[in-house]
Amino acid sequence: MNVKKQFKEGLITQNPVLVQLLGMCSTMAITTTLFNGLGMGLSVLIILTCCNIVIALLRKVIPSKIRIAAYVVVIAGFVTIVDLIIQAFVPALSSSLGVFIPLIVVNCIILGRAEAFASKNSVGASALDGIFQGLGYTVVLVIMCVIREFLGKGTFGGGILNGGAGIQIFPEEYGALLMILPFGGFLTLGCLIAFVQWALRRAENKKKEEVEK
Amino acid sequence: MTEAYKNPNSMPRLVLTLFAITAVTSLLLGLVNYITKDIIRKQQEEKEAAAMAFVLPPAINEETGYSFTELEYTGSDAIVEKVFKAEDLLSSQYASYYVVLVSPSGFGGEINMAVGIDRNKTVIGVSIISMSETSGLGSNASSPGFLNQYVGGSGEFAVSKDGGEIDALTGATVTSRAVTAGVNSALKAVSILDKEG
Repeated sequence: MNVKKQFKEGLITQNPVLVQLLGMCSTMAITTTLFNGLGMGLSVLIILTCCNIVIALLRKVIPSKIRIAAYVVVIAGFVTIVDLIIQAFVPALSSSLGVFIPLIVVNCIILGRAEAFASKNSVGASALDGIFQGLGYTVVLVIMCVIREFLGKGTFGGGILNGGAGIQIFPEEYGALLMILPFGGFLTLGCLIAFVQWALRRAENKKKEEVEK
Repeated sequence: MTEAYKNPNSMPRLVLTLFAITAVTSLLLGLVNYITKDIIRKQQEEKEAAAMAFVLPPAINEETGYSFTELEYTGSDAIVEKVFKAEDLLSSQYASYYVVLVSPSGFGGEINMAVGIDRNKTVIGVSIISMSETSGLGSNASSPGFLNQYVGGSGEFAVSKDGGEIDALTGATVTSRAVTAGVNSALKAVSILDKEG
């Protein structure tokens, strides 16, 4: 088990959104206020960790022929449990995320990690993978929320701070509304991906140069 | 049987494994549903009651609030869910309004909303109980700035794109039209009931 390597992979080098390009739909759709991003990110983190643990536990029991069906049942079960719990205890989050919580079932981050990691690794490593990949997803969502919310509506912390309205940094009518629309989602995500790719390549080149020296 | 079970690709093994996983999952789901069912229902009821009280002026009788009586809706409009008569009684002061629960179809499914209407068939309040509209766009329909456009009006509303006076929400014309349709249906339902006496 290599905690440090897994942490780095989840947050940067194998970031689910920016490098693996998984879970695009929810990333585009809900990153409009900080509250949504945090809520969605943490929900995915919890579901991903639980699913990874269960699938790692069952990895020797599940025959490979029916593994996808078995994974989907486990994932759907956890998603429904989390959905019911959110509806019961955080109704504000449930009404603002709407259909995207049930849609975590088909969020490819979870099935992707089950297939690529949890089905081949120990329970502990899979749990860590769930936490770090979930963190990587949450961090990207939060960054996108902050950028889109600020440029689109001129606020920070919508849904949480200042009684849900967010802190107004500049008047709302000067906001570029297209940042809140799906177009702004693509634009923000594209810039983020480009930036991370640039940074990763630069780090790689530096390493190469050092080796050559 | 044991021979067949040892081979991971044999039919009984596949069926049994999948069955066991499904059974355990169902059991867990049943358990969680059993625990959260009442809390979710209570929250829904509270939300509905709050929305119904919200669309009416503050009750004169502060202690008991309004008393709601469900009226039988005979019209054919499928959007109309329930019609209530809200009565407020304190010694000699008496007021009565209508509250109509409507559920027009928005962009992401039904929008459940409450519309308060007075005896002159004027809208006195609109409130959204639940919806699954796009977050950040259609979900802004619950903002007072949008819903207050209906207050004080009567007859038939339309969004400005359709030649009416309601300013649609940015990027959410479908949602704005749905809310408008809901308010219109509520007004029609009340005028049908009023004719009947």
